[in-house]
Amino acid sequence: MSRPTVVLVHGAFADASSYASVVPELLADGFPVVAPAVPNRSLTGDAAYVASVVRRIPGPVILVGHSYGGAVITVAGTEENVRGLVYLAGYALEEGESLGELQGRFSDSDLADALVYAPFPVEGQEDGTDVSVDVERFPEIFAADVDPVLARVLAVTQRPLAARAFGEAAPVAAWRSKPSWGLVASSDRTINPEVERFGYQRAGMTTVEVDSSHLVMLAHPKSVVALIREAADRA
Amino acid sequence: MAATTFGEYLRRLRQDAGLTLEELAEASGLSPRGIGNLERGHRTTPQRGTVAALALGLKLDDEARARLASAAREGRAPDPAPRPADGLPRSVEDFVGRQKELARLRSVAAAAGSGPAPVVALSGPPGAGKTSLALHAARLLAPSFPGGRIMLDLRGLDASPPEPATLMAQVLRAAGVPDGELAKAGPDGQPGLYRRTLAARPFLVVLDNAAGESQVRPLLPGAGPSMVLVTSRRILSGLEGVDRLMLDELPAGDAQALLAGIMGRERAAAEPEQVARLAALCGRLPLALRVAGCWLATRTGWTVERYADRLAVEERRLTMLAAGDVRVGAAFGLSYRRLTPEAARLFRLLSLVPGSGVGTAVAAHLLGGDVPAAEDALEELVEMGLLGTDGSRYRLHDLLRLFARARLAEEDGEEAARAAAAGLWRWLLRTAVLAGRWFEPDHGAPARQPGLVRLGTAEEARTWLQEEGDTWLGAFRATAAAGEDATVVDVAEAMHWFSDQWMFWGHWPEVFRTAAEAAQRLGDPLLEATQLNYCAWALLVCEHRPRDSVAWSSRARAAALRAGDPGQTGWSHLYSAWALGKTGSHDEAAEHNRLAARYLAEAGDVHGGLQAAAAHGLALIEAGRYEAAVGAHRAALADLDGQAGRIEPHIAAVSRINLMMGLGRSHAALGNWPEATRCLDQGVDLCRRSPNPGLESRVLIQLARACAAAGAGERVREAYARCASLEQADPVCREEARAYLAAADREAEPAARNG
Repeated sequence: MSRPTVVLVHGAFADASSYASVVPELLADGFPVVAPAVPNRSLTGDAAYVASVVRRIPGPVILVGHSYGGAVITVAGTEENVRGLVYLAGYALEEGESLGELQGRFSDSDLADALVYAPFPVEGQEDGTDVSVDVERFPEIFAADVDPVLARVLAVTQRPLAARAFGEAAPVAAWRSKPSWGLVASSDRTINPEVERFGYQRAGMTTVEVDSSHLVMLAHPKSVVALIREAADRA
Repeated sequence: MAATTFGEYLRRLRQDAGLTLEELAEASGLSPRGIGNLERGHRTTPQRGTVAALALGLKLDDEARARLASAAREGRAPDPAPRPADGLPRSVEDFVGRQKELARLRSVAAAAGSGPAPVVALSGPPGAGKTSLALHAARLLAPSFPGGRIMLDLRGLDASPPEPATLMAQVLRAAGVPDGELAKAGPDGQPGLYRRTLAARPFLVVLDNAAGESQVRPLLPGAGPSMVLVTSRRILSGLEGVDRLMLDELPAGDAQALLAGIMGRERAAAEPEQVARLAALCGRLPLALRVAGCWLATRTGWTVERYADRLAVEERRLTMLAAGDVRVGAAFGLSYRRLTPEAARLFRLLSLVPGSGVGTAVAAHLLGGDVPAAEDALEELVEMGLLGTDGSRYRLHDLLRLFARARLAEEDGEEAARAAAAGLWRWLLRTAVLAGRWFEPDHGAPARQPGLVRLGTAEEARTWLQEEGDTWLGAFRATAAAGEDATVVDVAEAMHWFSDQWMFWGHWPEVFRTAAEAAQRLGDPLLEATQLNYCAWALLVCEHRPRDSVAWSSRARAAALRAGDPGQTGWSHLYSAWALGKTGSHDEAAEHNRLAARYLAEAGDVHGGLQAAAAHGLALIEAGRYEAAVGAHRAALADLDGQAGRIEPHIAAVSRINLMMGLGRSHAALGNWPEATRCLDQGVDLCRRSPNPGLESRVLIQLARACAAAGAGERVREAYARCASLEQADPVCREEARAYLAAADREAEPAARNG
């Protein structure tokens, strides 16, 4: 039986290099892998873009989302060829729920006061607001257990998220119709682990806990690969 | 795994007290060498003064001192004192890190008792420290689970990991459920008994190294105060309502702390960058870190830098061992290459030992029979972190086993490896046969001691067979697969009587079925019939599957008739009768019993004839034919007297008691009270002389009922009181006795108040 394609969706304040340690293992296992650049401009726009990437893939897909990428796959995951969803320290939104609403159920993480806001131009409209993480504080909040040299690189190469994405309601929740797996990074200081756990448990998905910072794919690639493999075997 | 010799008992006491040989020597004023010799059994009978000095050094209280003294007199360990079941092996003392996971486990444990019993699955690659974490957590959580703690090795990587039913029986026995109750529950009732037991009191069950969901699922309790911890390489996402924790390498800080804890904190503090480098070279994998730390701990002259340099070279030199997705060959390779030749050889050969642990005797066999050399080599391997131990048995981690097996193939060659394996299997099975024969009516002590294993008493033989059960079963399977049919049949034959003493092992049907197939290939219908009969017995008695059993006793009968052997024909009828009786087919059972008695008499089989006669009597009681039952029991007792010298004494004693009880019951049913009480009194008396409290409780129940029916109220109370006071009573009987006494007390109470 041919292996499903693994589509790796990165989160906010990151790019596809978040998956740098996971991709070689998946390729060695014989999985086709696609790790697209996500625009990070709006939830529905980002989901539409990822859905278009998924649609172009001829066979079955395991859709993996990290952090904000979890919200993206919650919406994009309804594509017909998606066999399973894997959430990594992510937001499993309910239909009609926004990131802000889900997050607001629990106490703020350390991220809240490390965010930096800057305007960016939108053609023919008012300026938008770019949100990023203070470069100095990025390593401790995002990547406490990642190689410190690499953590500083990641801090300066982060892709910001447009602020409007926080308020957008998810039009659909793919975990209702697709088998799902969720990983809680229990030492996460970017997203309160309770937010991750709550979303997964509400969805009734198989949940695993890993003692890790937010960037679990770089801190514990083996555990992430094990979970993706499990999803590919069972979905 | 109870200590059985004085030496092992002493070693356990010393380890429990947290003393090294040297420390105990200092505290007791004895020489370390002398204590070592006692522990190794080189000297078995210490002087009284030595025992006193040891007791002083161990700081034993009076009771423990008396136990040590009596153990010394008998040269063996005393029977274990009753205590809450703690079936946990020793955990590592220098456990480091995993604070998040431990916090999670604590909070899960705190929720036990409200709603479904919590289950936590720890998954991760080999060497990540899943078992260490589970054991450490079990120790920390022990106060929340006063009902007991037990760890079971599920041997997930084995070709045939243990079945859930076998594991369930192990937990139940550890929880103190008597064999009799297990037997009564049978395979259908066991899951219910398991759930009730774990619901009744808080138990912590650790299921280590699970193969998959299907092995674990039946062992999860429903609701209640107990908790289950599972470790597995797999995520086990098929299990529902489970908390899952994934482990892989330690965070850098914890990895360095683990190294520092083993090698010494001051030393680590002197070279912090090198410790960090070493942790990275070990992939921050706990197993590799432990091996590296042990290396440094035993070589105080080395700097961490020098060792890390060596490790870096080794990593390039060695073809990396890829086991699963972990590559940790370098630390293993370096430590392995610095072992003494004996220890290195033993390490390689240990990869051949089937099962989950190894005792000293097996190691000594692998080193050509040299016990002191084996003990030294085992201790060296433990010191180097290449072998785990719980005091008397040793465990090779799966990853290290793969490494050792690869070394064996490369250094000794596949052919030598195969020859060594075959030699090990032959020795294991030869020892098993000698040990098993202790329990045969015609054998007893082996004429020739096998040397490495002490089989001087039946108890020693039993201990070896049970402790090395996995090991010799592995050898048995391999030997069957290799087509050595004669050996297979010999082993099974030697186990026939022993199997009766270890009914819930879970592998008897397999053993006897395998032997029956071997006998068939050998073209020996008599042997085949014998083994088929044993198989029928095992299915009936060990697994409570009477309907399946009948199929096997029928096959046995066909083979026995082909062989023209009245003895096995008789036994097959006996087993068929027994099984059919259990299914309620008393008419068919009676017919089989009649034929059994006829064939066995024809064969001159005294033991079988005895059983047939007893079964015949019971069948008549079942059928309500009490007059005939009195006659049958009387005839059987007369036969027993006539053959006194030909029957093994303890079999004769048990048979006499059972026949007396049957006779008493028959008389009671006919209303012959004086005869009934006389027979039952005599039965009780025989039980006390044996002593056999289990059987005594059963006779006492019959006596109490007979006295009640005869209106002898005083004697009813006396019999029930005695029954309730027997520590090893059949639990069903004890229950009946206690219920009667409680009811009687309630009735007596108002009268007492009025008076």
